[in-house]
Amino acid sequence: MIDNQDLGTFALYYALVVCLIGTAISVVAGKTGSQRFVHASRFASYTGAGAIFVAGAVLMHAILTHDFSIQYVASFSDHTMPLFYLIGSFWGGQAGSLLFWTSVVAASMVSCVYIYRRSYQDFMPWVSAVCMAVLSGLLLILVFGSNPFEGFSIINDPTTGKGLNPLLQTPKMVMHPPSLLAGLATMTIPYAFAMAALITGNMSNAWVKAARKWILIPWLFLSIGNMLGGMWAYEELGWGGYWAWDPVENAAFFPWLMTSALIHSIMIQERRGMLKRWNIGLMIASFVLTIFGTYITRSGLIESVHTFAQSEIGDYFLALLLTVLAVSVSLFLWRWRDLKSDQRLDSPASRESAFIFNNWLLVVMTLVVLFGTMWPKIKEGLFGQEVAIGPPWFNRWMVPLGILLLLLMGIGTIIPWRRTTMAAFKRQFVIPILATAAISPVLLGAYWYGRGAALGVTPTPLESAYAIITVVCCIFAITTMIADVWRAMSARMRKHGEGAFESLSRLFIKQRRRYGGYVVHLGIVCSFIAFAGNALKIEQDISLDPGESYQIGDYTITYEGLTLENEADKDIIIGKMTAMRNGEHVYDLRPGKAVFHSSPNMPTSEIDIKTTPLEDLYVALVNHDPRTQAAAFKIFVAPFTWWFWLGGTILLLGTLICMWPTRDGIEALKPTPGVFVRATAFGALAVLCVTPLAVLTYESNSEWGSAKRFERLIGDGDGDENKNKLEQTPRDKVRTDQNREASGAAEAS
Amino acid sequence: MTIALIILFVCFTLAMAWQTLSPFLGGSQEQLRFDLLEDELRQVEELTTRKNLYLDNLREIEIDRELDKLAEKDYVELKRRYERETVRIMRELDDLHGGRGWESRVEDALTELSAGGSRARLPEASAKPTESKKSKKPKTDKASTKKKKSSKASKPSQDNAVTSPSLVDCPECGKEMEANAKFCSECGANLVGLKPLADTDDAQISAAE
Repeated sequence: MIDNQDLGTFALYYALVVCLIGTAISVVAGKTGSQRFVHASRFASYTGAGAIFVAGAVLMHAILTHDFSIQYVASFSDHTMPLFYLIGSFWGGQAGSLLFWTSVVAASMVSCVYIYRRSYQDFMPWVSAVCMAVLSGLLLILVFGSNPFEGFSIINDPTTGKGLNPLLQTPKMVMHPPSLLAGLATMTIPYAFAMAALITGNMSNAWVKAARKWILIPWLFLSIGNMLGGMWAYEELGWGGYWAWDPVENAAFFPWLMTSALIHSIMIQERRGMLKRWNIGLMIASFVLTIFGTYITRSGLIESVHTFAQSEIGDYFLALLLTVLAVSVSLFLWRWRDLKSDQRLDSPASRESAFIFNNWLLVVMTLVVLFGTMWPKIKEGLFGQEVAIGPPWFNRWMVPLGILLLLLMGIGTIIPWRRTTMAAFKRQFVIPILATAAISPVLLGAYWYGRGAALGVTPTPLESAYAIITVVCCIFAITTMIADVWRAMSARMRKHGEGAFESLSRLFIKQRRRYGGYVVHLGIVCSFIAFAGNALKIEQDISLDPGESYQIGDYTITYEGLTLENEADKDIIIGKMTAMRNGEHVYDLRPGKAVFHSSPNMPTSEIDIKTTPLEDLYVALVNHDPRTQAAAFKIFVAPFTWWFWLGGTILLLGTLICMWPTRDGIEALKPTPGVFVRATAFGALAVLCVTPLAVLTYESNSEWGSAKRFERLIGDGDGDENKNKLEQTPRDKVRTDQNREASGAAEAS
Repeated sequence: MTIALIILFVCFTLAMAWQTLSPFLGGSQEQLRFDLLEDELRQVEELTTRKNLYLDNLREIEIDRELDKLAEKDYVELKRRYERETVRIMRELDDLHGGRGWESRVEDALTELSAGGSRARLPEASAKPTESKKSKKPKTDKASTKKKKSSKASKPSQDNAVTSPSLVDCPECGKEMEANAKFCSECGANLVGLKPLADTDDAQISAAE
């Protein structure tokens, strides 16, 4: 019987050899155009990918069958973990996540090579070559840097594993890493197209047309990944927010910002043949930043909450990064002259220039984030001084830039191509501007007098100005979109005699890229509403004794005391609280802390968040005194945070609309994946997109979002007895070790 | 479950490895055929993709014009450019038999192969080994649906000619066109009433036989 270690390692070596040979074959195919080599290069890419999938399947098999002779399996899983978290432990550690990354690159390469098997024949051998070269790099790291199939020597062979990091044992954390990794991995495909264009010297729009849907894929996955990560931070970490400008968050944010810029600028190249250099540059930068982000995370170069991903392979990633950078930049410079624009900008008041400004803004934002992330490290290296750049610094730059971007989003939607005449300006802009001027004061006033004033917050003049301008820009962006859609609908209704609904749905079917883009913009607008809400956010760190109350906004929070529950794998300390508003009971709150027996020094938070579209009430148990039962809490009221998750969900669905294959696309997918497979794939993606918001809403309205579920789970049996006992002797209630004994005794009885 | 997955992927890898090597395993004659065969098909696919992209562009500017996002002058200029490109690609397709006559040529070649007839007349069609027939068929179907009108026009030639398509030389520019074409695709000359070359071809062949 072949064991997992041997089969897995062999598959990795085999894949490496195939990818290296495949790269060589593809180069010959690209240079000579020989159909034999083109055929061989295509199938070599399938073979290499197949071998990588074998390695992935072997690792999954080893994890599910608890093969603890493999170090990786022993380090990140154990017997007690449920299936869901066992699957999650595939990418819970360094080597596994790298194998997952490699598998996603392989899978996207296979789909791309298959879909374009009959088109873009001048590019495809080079696309395969670049993909297989990148895969070879990753496989080299896997084989020589961190092999997931590394075994133990016989003496150390453990009988049980260490289990997955408790912080990662939440459904969001099972989904967050693969989404983000998939986003980083799928960036390889559009990059390969850009490289193919540079190598072949075909500087027409062909590469942009071939790559444009493939650019949306990493963008979609990065969006899902960042959103789930934000949700995890918000609900599990107790930072007090969904985004803290943590270096590793930033590392995933650079490529997202760059790709957002690219998605817009390729439209200009497609339409006007401009920005050719810019697009290739952005594509290279996006890909390099994905590797750079991974490098700074994996090498431990910067300190962050994500320290569990640190390892020795930083140097390998640095080598990969430098190679990619050197090759891409040399090719870029070599073709610099050929990448001249076909046309020039006609007027600054045109759609092209709105898009160019938008690109500049997104690139400046990337640079700001990059600077903020790297400066503390650079300064420490140069001057030996330690500096910290925190959220206030980032916000100072990013808020005004974001508002400008939002404004451009509104303008870019309706401004004509090439130049705007006075008549066109009147036709396009007057109605949205008037509508914004009429609606904004009404909405702002209604919120302020209906709810905002009651929170009792007085933001600084700058904060208020930012918030008000943001809301006005959001309304402007929405009115421009409505005006544009209405214009298109009425044109269809006039021309084809369709009803309103029919014309709208036909617009979305026929022009899914354009109107899908509008849906994405709508999502962004919703997220900006959440950002504006932050101006009225009240955040307090407080310490309360049992029976004490605290006023935050118009909520009165009363702390009743602590209880402790014991579970097979962890103890949970629960704070009992109630929230009242205007004398009425509104919520029972149960923030808690879980202490896993496997990692007692790493307690995890069970934060209770009550979410409504108007505001979130958030309570986290930060610390507690077992003797006096006094406890410290982080409490805040955050208006409109729900809109951030709603916006994220709308954005993902909009991206799906843009990505929905056209008739030609479906033709290219045939014959293998039938209608059923396509429907399942897109259905699954759509479900994935709406899941975060659905889970958040469910958790907010049920005990599943707080530590309350543990109270219920114990029921009437031993646990309940335990709980009552603890309540009778409050001083001993929360001493973990004693309770573990108590639970042991209860189990024994 | 995971075992099944491992076996599936192992089989996939082995099958693909075999496919990778297969073009290099045959004799030199077969290898040459492999190169010749697919080339034309690929060009047809390539041109079809590009044609569709230009058609998409044309559709886009129509909408932009309807929504006042494109000035009339720009619209006319872009439209002319895209149309010119589309027509150029369609001409290239015609030259490759991706349009008119493509289907009938394949049909003829198939008949010819099955009848074991002469291979001299259609070098690019006759050079194909049997497996390529399968791959060629669906693509020709596609090409023919894209150009329904033209494939309909080529039907009669399938019926009447046993072995070869009916062609005429354009009297103006000398371009080889289908016998039932009304105008030359190159220069636009009127072709109605011209006698097909195929008749003379057929006569020569039967004489040789």
